[in-house]
Amino acid sequence: MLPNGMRIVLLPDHEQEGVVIALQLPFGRFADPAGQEGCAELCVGLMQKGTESRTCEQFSETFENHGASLFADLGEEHAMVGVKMLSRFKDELFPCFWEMVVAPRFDLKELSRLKQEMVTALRAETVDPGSIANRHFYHALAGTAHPAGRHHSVQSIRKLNQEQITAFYRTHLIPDGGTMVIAGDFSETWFTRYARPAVELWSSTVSRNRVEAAPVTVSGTSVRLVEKNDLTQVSLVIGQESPGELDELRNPIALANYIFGAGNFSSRLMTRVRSSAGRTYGIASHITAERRFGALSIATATQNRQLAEVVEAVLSEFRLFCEKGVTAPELENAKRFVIGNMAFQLEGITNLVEKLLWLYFYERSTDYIERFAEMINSISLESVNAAVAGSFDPDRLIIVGVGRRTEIASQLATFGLPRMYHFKDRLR
Amino acid sequence: MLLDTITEKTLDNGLKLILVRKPGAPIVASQLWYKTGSIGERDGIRGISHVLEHMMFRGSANVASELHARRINEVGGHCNAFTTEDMTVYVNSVPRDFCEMVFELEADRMDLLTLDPELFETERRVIIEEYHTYMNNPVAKAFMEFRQEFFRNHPYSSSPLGVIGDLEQMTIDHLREYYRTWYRPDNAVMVVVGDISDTKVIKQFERHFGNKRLPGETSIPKVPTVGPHQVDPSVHRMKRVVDFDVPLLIIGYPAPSASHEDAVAMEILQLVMAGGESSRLHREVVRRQSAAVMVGGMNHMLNLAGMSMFFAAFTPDIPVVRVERALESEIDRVLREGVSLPEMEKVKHATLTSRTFELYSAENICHRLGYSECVEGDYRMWVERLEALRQLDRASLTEVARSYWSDKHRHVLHLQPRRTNPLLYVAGFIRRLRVVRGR
Repeated sequence: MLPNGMRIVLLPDHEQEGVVIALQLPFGRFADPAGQEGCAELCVGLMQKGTESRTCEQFSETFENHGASLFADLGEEHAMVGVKMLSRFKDELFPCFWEMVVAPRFDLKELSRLKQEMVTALRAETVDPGSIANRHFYHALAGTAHPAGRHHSVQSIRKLNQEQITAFYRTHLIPDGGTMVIAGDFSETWFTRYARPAVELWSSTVSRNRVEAAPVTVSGTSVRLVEKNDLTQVSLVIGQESPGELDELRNPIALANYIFGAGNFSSRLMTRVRSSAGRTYGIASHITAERRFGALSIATATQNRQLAEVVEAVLSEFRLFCEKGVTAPELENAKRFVIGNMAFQLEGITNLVEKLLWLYFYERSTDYIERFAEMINSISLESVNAAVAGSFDPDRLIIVGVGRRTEIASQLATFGLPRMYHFKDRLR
Repeated sequence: MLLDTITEKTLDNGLKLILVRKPGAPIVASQLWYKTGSIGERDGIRGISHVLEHMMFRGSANVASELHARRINEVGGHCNAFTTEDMTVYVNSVPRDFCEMVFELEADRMDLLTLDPELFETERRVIIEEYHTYMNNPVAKAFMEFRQEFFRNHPYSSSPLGVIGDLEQMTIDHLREYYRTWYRPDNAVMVVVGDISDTKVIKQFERHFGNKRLPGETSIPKVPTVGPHQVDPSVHRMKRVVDFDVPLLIIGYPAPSASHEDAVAMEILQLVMAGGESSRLHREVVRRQSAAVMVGGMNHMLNLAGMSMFFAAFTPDIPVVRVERALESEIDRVLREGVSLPEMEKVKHATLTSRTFELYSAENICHRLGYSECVEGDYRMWVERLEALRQLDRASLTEVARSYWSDKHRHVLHLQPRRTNPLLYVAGFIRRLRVVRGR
């Protein structure tokens, strides 16, 4: 831990001649000020468009001429920027990467170009009914007073200006609470000599105000129909709130969710809706777990005429799951999967960096990976079923269908009076 | 270096194993490549390779329906499959101690597939759902039509997704015949990568696959042999009005096959044109001329032929002619002036970096070697390409660009957003408002 509040993790590994450097900070989309949705994304994007000493073209050339690539991942509560490169170029490229962090240019022309890119990407998203359904699900789940219910839109992006982006940067791009992992073909001596002095100089007078979204509770069943009349298949998202990542129920819930809908062909949803009935190409339940906020969402698509049958099947599986829980053999299989699957998360320096950042972000103990199997095996059937019964309720669900109104409206209405939207509507 | 870690073994029945030792790898990646895809299909059964790929998970003599995937999941692994124009590939990745289980499962379905008629009916519905998912994407649908036109009269004109009428009419007997014809040990290659002992794995491989017999006297059918891609000597244009708000322009040129000696040069040319923000297209078309918001390019190189593509996404206020001219003028510049030395250096570094990072992953190595062996003709190609890249000179690059990116062979697809009648939108809004108020 450096005096400026940054944690440094070094992982020398000389298998190949690559180096990955990644910096993670505890802010994400949830940190967008109300009315300024898209601010975090623009800020992280704009950081990669030039620094004080390099124009955007010079900046991208510096990396690309050396075959290096920058990457960024903006989550809801975390942001990560990084670079992958051949180790022989690290002396030249680290200073440039670091300048991007501490002294981005935030050029007005680049901002306008990036905004246009984001607007185009948003417009392109309307081709994906699954994304539209997901946006509506979170809007219905959390409401616009909660960051999970607010999304950036063409209008919110267009309104954002350079001052707002700069202010966002000054508030959130500070060393306190950050973690930097360097993995691959380098030595600790290299870090001490070339990287550490620059990193230690990073300071800020602002103190970290960590933005963590609060958990939400769905009050009752609600149904939304989002009209998109060119579709022969309806996209569905069904779900409700779920425990967050720091909740003690998180691991039992993850095991239960594997059995219910996350376990691909081993899951109950896939078995019932795809393997037995042939009503979909894919169906899965997913748990979004931020530090305290969480949501369970079941996503699938089926031909319009089969909508009611599929929703009925999902609801009855969910009711069974909530009321009867899971069985001992199912739990054993789920445990074997999650324990065995850890091997995949530890392969190669890129995966290792990602895993380490996850561990530190969620404050896991340093022996988490060594103790992982033991920890999973100690979870009892009773505790899993109690977690399911205590966390989920089949009588409070949000159901969103995106499709052709004339073919799906009456089917959706059997689950509750649908609130109608058009896929181009702004969600306020 | 990589070649030193590879052992190959071909069984008497023709099945080939490519084994890569990757010390320290916590997982074992395996891919079984069958050399058949939509190219092995005929009218009436378009899409059968993909249907059979689905049915391969629906049970064999000793493995119940869907049990393959469950057994792989139970040890923490994952499995999948994909069908291309030339190949059907089965992917299994497991923690390091479970390599033999993969052999056992793959061996069972290599010649003992059940092909149950009832399960086929269920799976047919799943495949039709998959078809609809794809066709509900107006961009994917338009691109499929473009591809069909591009490869007109060529075995690649049909997509692996198939034809809906054929998917609906296909019978279990069609599948049985197709399975017998193409799924045979001498038409397959298994690639395995992990921290494994050669001797032990080869013994396991022999134990599970050594008894697989060839189907009598019959030989593997010859896939159609065609010469270079034939196109009319005129620019082909296709325009589609779609429910998609972003105008798109796609330009395609005939490209060589994956194993052709020009393939390396084509990859380099693509990177020069469209690889990253310092690429020619991004610099010129997006930044200097503001004729597009995003640009890109890729080569789709297959066994017999390929397509070299460029695309641009732009805003509705920009005339498509301007976008096309901007792309064309950059392509023409390469034909006129060639590629600069710094560009060559940049591309070499990019390729080396990307190769270095691929080597960290057993799954990537596995896929790359399988592709090189089955599509490019020899797994060594993956390694040798780096050497070929080092030896390429600027003059030969320009020559290759001139042979393929010719005006005469250009195909153009323009996706124009459908204009919504504003009155209809307002009427819909009022209707929705009424429903909401009525609650």
